[in-house]
Amino acid sequence: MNHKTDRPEIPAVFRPWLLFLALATLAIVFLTPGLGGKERHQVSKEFQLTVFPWMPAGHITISNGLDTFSGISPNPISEGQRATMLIGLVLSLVVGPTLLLVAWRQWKTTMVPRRWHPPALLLGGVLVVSTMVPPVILAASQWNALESMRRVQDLSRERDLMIHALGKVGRDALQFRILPSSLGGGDGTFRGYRVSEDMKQSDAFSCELIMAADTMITLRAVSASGSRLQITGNVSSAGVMRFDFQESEE
Amino acid sequence: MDQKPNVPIDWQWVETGFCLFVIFHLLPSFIVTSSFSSYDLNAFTVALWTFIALAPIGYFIGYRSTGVTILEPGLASLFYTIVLLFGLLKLQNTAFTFATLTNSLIWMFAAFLVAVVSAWVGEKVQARNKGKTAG
Repeated sequence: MNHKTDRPEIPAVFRPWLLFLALATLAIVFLTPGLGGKERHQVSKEFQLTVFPWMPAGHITISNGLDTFSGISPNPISEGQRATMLIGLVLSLVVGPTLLLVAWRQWKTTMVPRRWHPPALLLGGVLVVSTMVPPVILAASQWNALESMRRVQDLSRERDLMIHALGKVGRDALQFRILPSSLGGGDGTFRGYRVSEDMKQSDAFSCELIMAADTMITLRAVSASGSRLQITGNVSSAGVMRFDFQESEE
Repeated sequence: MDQKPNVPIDWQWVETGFCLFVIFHLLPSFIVTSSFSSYDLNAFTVALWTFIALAPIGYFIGYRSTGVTILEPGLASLFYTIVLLFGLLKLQNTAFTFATLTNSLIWMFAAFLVAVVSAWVGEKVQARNKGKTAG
């Protein structure tokens, strides 16, 4: 005797529904076009079947805000868009939880599963899971997105500071080049130029001279923070500066 | 030396587990993706919920079954991830390469592990509840 099947753990009335829904899901997933298509589930241009009505609502709000900002009068919300939001709200926040809770409550009260309980429980469960779980996961992932945005902002600020410093050194080198040697200049060449101590080091980065030729000077700024950002700047005798960004290996 | 009885695999639970995975993981993923795809997000990857949905189903099977049913959710999840592998390749129009195969094998192993561990937790909770009732 198999001790696992002494009593049915899931009522027999559920089994055909489980099989039917699973097969229907597989058929839908495998027999419909790829998920990348924007046109899928877009019943019409205006109406979209969704359990996240706040997504199209947000899209409309942002789009209208941008239009207003640009001086264009925003479009009124169409009937299709209203239907998208109403049907989405009803499905996700009314139909799903109601089916699930009513069927579950009645089943628990009567202790006898009725014919309508399995589809109601399964469909309600699917709607509730689809509506409730993804927003929680997306909300949690927002922390990562926020942190990543902060990192990008820090990096951008650091990069701007380093470009500014390299530009300052570059201008100093150009001054050196045009000055005669009697005044401590390069007399038409970058050769002999040295980065002054006050421009060489800061709290956030260090600046060094890589190469000084007659018509070209190459400088490098290396971040002192954990970002490992490194910017190489080439300054030509005409005063043109070109920057190359990279992350150092160390 | 004591020898553990050789308990056969309960294929009914494997089938039920597979159906539950499809209904409560693949179908919601599909619904979620359909909603998010129009916003240019790689939503199917997000919608798979990186096994979060697999754990409650494994737990449910472990908790609901009368006997020790740990291998069944593992097998069900294994079959499910095979289906999911082909589903993903088809849906995302991705070629079957060595890299995708390696990734998929890691996925399958992780899914198997998640389902087995959650089923084990379900069994433990069931045993504790039974102990409380008996006590």
